[in-house]
Order: sequence, then structure tokens, then C-alpha cells
Amino acid sequence: MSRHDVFERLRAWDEGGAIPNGHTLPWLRATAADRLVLAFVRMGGESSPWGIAIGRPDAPPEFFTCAEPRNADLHAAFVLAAADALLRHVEHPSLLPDDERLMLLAMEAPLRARVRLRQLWVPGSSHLDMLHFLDFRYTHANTGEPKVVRRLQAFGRACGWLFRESTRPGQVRVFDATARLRRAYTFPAEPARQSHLGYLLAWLVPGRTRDERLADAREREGLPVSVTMSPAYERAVLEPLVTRYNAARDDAPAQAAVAREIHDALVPELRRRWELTAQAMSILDADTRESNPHLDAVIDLGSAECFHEYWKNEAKGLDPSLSDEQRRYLVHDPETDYAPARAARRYFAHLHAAELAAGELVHGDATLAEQSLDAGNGFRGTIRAVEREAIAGKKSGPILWTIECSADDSLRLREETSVCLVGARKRIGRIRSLVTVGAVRTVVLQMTDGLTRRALPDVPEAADVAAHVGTTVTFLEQAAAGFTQMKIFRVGHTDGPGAWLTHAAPLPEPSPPVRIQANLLELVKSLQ
Amino acid sequence: MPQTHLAEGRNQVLTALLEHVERADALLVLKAPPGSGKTFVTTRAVALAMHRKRRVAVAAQTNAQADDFCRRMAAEFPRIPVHRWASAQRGALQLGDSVTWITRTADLPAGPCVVVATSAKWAVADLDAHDPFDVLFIDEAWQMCWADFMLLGTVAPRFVLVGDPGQIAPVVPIDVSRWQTSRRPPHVPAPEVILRDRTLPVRVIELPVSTRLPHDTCAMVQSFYDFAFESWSAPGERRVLLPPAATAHPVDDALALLTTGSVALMTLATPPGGPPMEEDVALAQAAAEVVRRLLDRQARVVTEDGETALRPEDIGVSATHRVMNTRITDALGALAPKVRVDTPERWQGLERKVMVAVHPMSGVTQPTPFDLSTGRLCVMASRHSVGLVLVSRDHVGDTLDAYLPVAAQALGQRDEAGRGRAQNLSLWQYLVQHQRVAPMTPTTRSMDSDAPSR
Repeated sequence: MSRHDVFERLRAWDEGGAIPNGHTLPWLRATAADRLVLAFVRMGGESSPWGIAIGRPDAPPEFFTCAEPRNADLHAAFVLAAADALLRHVEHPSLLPDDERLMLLAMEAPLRARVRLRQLWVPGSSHLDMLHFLDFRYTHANTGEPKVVRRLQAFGRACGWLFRESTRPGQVRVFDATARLRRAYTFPAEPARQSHLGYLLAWLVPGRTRDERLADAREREGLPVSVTMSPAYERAVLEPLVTRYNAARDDAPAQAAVAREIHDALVPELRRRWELTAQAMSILDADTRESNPHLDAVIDLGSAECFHEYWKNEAKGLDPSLSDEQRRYLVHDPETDYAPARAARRYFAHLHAAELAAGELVHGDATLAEQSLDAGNGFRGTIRAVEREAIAGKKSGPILWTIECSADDSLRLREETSVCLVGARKRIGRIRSLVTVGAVRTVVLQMTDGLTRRALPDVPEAADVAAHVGTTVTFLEQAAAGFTQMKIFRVGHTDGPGAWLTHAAPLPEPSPPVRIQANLLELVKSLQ
Repeated sequence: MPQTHLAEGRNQVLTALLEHVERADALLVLKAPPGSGKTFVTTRAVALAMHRKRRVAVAAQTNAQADDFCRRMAAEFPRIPVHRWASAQRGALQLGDSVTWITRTADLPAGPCVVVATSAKWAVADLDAHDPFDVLFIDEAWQMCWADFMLLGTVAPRFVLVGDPGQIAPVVPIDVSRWQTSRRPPHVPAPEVILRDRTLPVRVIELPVSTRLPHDTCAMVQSFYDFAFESWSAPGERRVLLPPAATAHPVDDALALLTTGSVALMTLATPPGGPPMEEDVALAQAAAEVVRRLLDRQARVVTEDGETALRPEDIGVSATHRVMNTRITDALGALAPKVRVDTPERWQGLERKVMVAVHPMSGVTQPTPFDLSTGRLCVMASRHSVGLVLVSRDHVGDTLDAYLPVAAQALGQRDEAGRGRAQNLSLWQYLVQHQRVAPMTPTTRSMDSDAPSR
């Protein structure tokens, strides 16, 4: 926890409620048609969902429950009923006419535009984990009617992709409502309590005193919002119903009646989770802050990921001419990326996403820039000199800026790091030297990009001494996102001479036997 | 006298490496403890490969490391031409008469050569238009993750990976839980991935001698390594000499320990409310006091090369948090420009005669797996050639003792947190059992108790 965080939390306490964190929100508002709210509950001690609430935020949700989630057939039927809404949300190609599907597969851009702002909202992290569990359970489903199995598998893969996407840094597709509230506001509470969505929402109710909000938050904290329900409620209400349900296994009408009772008992639990999520979404939508103006690249990356990591494979998988083996190759394993090249590619993709999000958004939000400075990812100081380095034999050397900063500020950067100017991000310099004497840290930058008026029409040229000397500037680390992006593609090259080691290509021919010279140490000494 | 009998073991390892180069075998991993002469043996292997008319690529992890390697080659093998391949944005450096600075791929030499560049440079280089290299040497390989190593498959068919397994693992700024159970996890240091795969034709050799570390320090840091190594120096051969002090000083008890061994742990009482987390001003001042007192008392150091006065430039200070390093620099005042103060990440590859290090867990009462990872502590405890003063709040032993890691790693994976706890605890217990701990307390001792150290 940084000093900034501590200060802001104390300020929130002083003001008696949650206070905005940052000048902007790092996601775009979407229409209700682009949004889906999803919440789960599960039986104590079980991993499978017991009930699902799903629906667009502008309409009442649908509730799906399973009387006995330990019964695999019942569970599959219940999941199948809920699957359609999710598959529609992710534009599953099986729901599209063939010609439209083939057009989208060929052209890419229309599909990317269609899903650009699609958002899935869940109450908290345990609900995201449930997506992962459903991936494990249904992606490789293999029992039942082929049509049902295919739909269950598609549902499992959709859950799997959404779960993986939720772990991609900077993504704006899967929204954990609790985490988004924490990102948007600073709450006057310790971190452990900030995992409860209801608790957070109580701090956001307007027109109350701190004590009133605190009392409300404590009361709401008593009602669970994770996938697990209150053990007392399960014991007192649901357990007897499940016992009755199983006892009535030979009496279908009686069993159906108990199933309805179980459904009725689960719906309030599901509804509360779903409504809290929708409420969090509404509060964030009503926030007066704008979205970060530098979100475009982040959102574009998200739609490209959707197409290449999910939709394209799903569409290709519908080709009836594919063999099972070929189809299997299109499916991501729920556990991990076993193929080393694929694991490395996804690792670089996530690194690239992190660098892109950090590098872009920091220029659209002054608070993020300050936090980045606070973390030592840049420096602020006064320009003391602007000069051209004299290089023998050259007409003009590089432009050097000498900047004096406070040595008290933390700085993580080192020589040769590239930094960009806040307010004119195309102006880039590379740190030549860092010298601290007493309370002053002197940074010498070799300016490398954005030097002229042509590159930056609104800013004086980098070599303009009079315009720059004496001014205060802030530089932040220039994210090398393009470099990591290059690695994503290059790591797939399997034809290098060392591919036997890096990409499991066949081993090279063993070297022919060599007679080893007797005294290699002497030989090497003679080379010195 | 140094333990010259150990030279034979080191020569055997060097010979094994040279034989590997002679035979042009496919894959070798050289494990090297701190200060064991990694660059010494690598330059020799590179020289031999070049002598055998091979095309040799060398990948370092930073530009500074690549430059240093070229300087060493130029100094030790001035007749072997070396090409330093760097970014066009870097100004050319004079690294030696035999080193040519190149920036364009087109300038890569044809035929037998030695080309040194950073791993990042090799990773994105388009080498299709050139003859492949015969062998790629990777320096500081434990600082390179597997995903980055995969990009080097386009450079050469044979690999020699050299590095210190105890060093700080590559920084991974993203959640990597998806790949914990991958066959070749992309975020894990490349040599570890190779060594875990029993199907690869890898030969592993280990340098058995540290020329940097004093004898008892070797024993102390041994728990960080899965192979044994010894110190070149004999027991007690290297030490700090302290003339009698005119007045008593709170850090003198800790300094006195340096006269009888190479390591001292100076503890400060932990406040009742727990230690300050990141910025422990008292600890920073204590670390600076150790430096100042060593110089005020005109400490001298004894090594195999003789006895010399300890200068500010011979002392280094390390703390894991930047804010602590800033406080220590403040506290050092006029000494600050001469005494290097830095994070363990930046101390890698460097050494000083005497180091003062703030224990990484001093401000931690609820350790996380990150706190328990031992790379930083290992680096901090292995930069000195004569003496080390660890400075810490005194709760660390109890905190480690009371902490039970939850083993949250993926199924089948190593319990890194548990291992880290055991290694941290082992180092602390070593210091306690060997009576290397001295609390820092205001003292009113008489001058008589400051006996001369020799």
C-alpha cells in the first residue's frame, strides 16, 4: 500500500464516504444491449453452480436452478437452459446463419465492431472462478446426445474464454463489479472488508453521515454475495428441501413440486447478487467522470482478442469437414496452455496488454500519472539546460536536456530507459545519466523523438533553449509495448536452428566425434 | 594462504566446458555461485570456439553486461576480434581495441566471429540473410525467462547457459497462474525449465569455488543453492581490522563481530506496534552509522593480497525498497557520492569489500510468497569479499518461525513459499547459532572494552 493510498483512505474516512479515485474511469459505458449481468450460487461443499441469474441490466433476470446439483444429468440440463443467454452475448457463431458466419469469419472487422463494447458483469471474484469451473466441467463434456454435448461444450468454452479474458491485464470485457468499484473509488475500510460488494455500495449511498453509512455497510456485510450462501440458510431452508427431493425419487410429481420449492428458495439469493451487480453498474454509469480518453487502443486490443482467441476458433470448429483431432486443436485446455509456443505467445500477449493499458491510460488521467510518478516510474523536475552535444566530424549532435529533480522522490528508472513527456507523449528521450548530489538528482536526457514542430505542432521544438529552460516537466517511462507485441509473433517461429530446444523440433544430427586435444587449458592460455 | 587445492576443481570444470565446446555438443548449463568466475570461464570457452573457426553469439541480459563482457574479451584475448552489436540509438562506446561497434544487421560479420548483444537484440533480429551461428552463449541465464529464451531459437543450434541460480528471478509483472502447470512455463527462468525436462540432452556442470565470498559466508549462503561450493579464501583469512575506539558507539558490537568472521547481524528492537513497513528511518540511520563508524575508526581489510585501508568506495549498501535507499543516502550525507546505495536488483554482478544490507524481511510481519523468495536476500548476502553487516529489526526469526506457508501452488509444482521460508529461516538461524548477532543499543561501555582486533 503506497503513501498515496493511505492518504486517500484517511481522506475518505474524513469525508465519511467513498471518494473518487482518479480523474477518469478506465472503461467505456455501454448500452444495456451490450451488457449481461451474471451471478451464481452453489451448494456448500460443491463446486458446481446450484443456480444462475442471468440477464441484461434493463430487464428482469432469468433464474435457472438445479434441484440436485450433484446429479450430473440434472446439472447438465440446468446449464443447458442457461447457456443460450451467454452464448448470445458472446455472439456464438452457431447462433448465426451460415452465410453471415462465413462473412464474419472472412472479414473480421464487422465481428470486432459488433463485440467491441460487449461487457459481462459479475458480482465478484468467486463468480469469475465459477466460470473457470464451468470451463473444466463442460468443455470436454462427452456423454449424451451429440447436439446437447456440442452445446454444453460450447458453453464450457465460452465460460473458459471469459475467465481467461478476465485475467488479461487492462481488459474491459469481463467486469468484476467489486473490483471495478474499488478501482473507481477509495473506501474508508480495510482491504479485507472491501471484498464485499454490498459493503462497498453502502459507502456510496448519498446524503448520509459516516456513521449511517458504516452501520449500513456492516449490516449488508452480513448477507453473502459470493457464490457461497449462508450456511445457516442452507441448513435451515435448503437442506430439508434437498432431502425431501431425494426421498421422492420414485414420485415424479412430488419431486417436481420440491424442485419448485428449491427454485423459490434459491431465487432470492440469486436476485440479491444480480441486483447488487446491476446497482454497482448504475452507480458507475452515473459517475460524473468521463471515461479515459486514451481507451481506444485498449478496447481495440480487446476486440482483436475476442476474435482471434475465441470467435474465430468457434466458427472454424463448426466446419463439418474437420476431424475430431483438428477440432480438438481449436480448443483451449481449461487448465493451462500445454504447448510451449502457445503458452509463450499468450504470456507475451498478456505482457503486451499490461504495457499497453499502463502506457496509454496514464496519459489520459492526471491521477494515474501521479501514481506512476509515486511508484518511481518517472520524474518531475526543472529543465536547467538544453544543448546540442558536440560530436567530432558531425554537423550537429543529439539534443540533450538536463533536468534537476528532488533526490527525495523515488525513481525506479535507470540509464538507457526511454521516457516520454507528459502532455506531449510523442516527445521521447532516453536517460543518458542519473547523478544524485545532496538533495538534487540530475537527469540528462538524450531527446530521440518528437523533436520538431512538424512532429508536435503545439509544442516548442526540443532544441529551443529559451522556451524550455526553467520550465517544469514530467517524464514517465515509455512503455515498450510494440517490442513485446513483436515477440508475440516471433515466438511462433519454429524454423530456427535451435528449434529442437525451443520449439520441440527434431534433435539436430549429433556432431561427428572429435579428438579432444590433451591440454585445452594450455591452448586457451596461448590465445591470450 | 588461499585454498589453492581448490584450483584443480575449478580447472576441471573449465576443462569440461572447453571439451563441450570442442565436441560441439548441443546443450550445457553451467551453474555458478556468486563470485565464482562465470565470465572468466565463459570468455575462455568463447575464445576456444572462435579459435576453432566457429561463429559465436553471446547474449547478455543488459547492455551493461554486454559491454563488460566485451571489455573482458578485449583485455584477456586482445587478438580475438569481437563485435558488439547494439541499438543504433546508443552512442558507440570504446570497449577495447579488438572490439568493433556495430548497429546494423547488415554489418554482422560473415565467417568465424564473436558477436555480443543483449538477449532482447538477438530476440528480434532477422538473421535469415546470414549464416547461422554455431553456438550461443547466454550470460546470466537465470535472469532470462523461458518465453524470452524461446526467441533465441533462431540464433544457433547449440546453447551454453551460464548463470547463478541464487540470483533474483526475472521480474514478472502479470498474473501467471494460467501457466503454472504448463510443460514449459513461460515465466520461469530458462535454465530451470531445461533442467526440469528430463528428455533434453543437457549436460550440467557447477563451478565449485567462490573467489569473492569469504569462507564462512560460503557456508551461510549454501542453503540457497542445490550444489556445494567452497571459498577460495581460507577460514579467517579475510577480515576487518578495527583500531581501538576512543569512544563507545552503538554499532561497535556488530563491527567487533567482523573482526572474527565475515558476517554480522545487527538488530534493532522491534517497536511494540510492529516494525515500520517500507520506510524505517531508524534502520536507515543505523545502516549509515555502520558505514560512518567503519570509516571513522579507520578500519582496514585483510585479504589474500595483503592489508589495505577501507575507503568509502570499498563499501556498498543495499535495501530492497527505493524509499529506504533514499533515506540511507540522506543519512550518509557527504559520504553518499562515494558509497553506492542501491537495490539488490542493481547490485547483481557487482561487489564491494564490505557491504551493509537491510534485511528484506525487516519490515514484514505477514510474509507473502514474494517476501519469502530468496533471490534478493541471496544477492544482498553475497556481494562482499571481506565483511557483511546485515541490519534488521529483531522480530524476523520469530516471524519466520511462526509463519506457516499455505502451499497454494498448483498441483505438482514446487512449494516455493515453503522453500523460501526454510531458506530464510536457515540463514537467520545460522547467524544466531554462530553467535553473529549483536543488538544495536546505546552503550556506556568504557573504552577498555574496545580491545584492538589483533
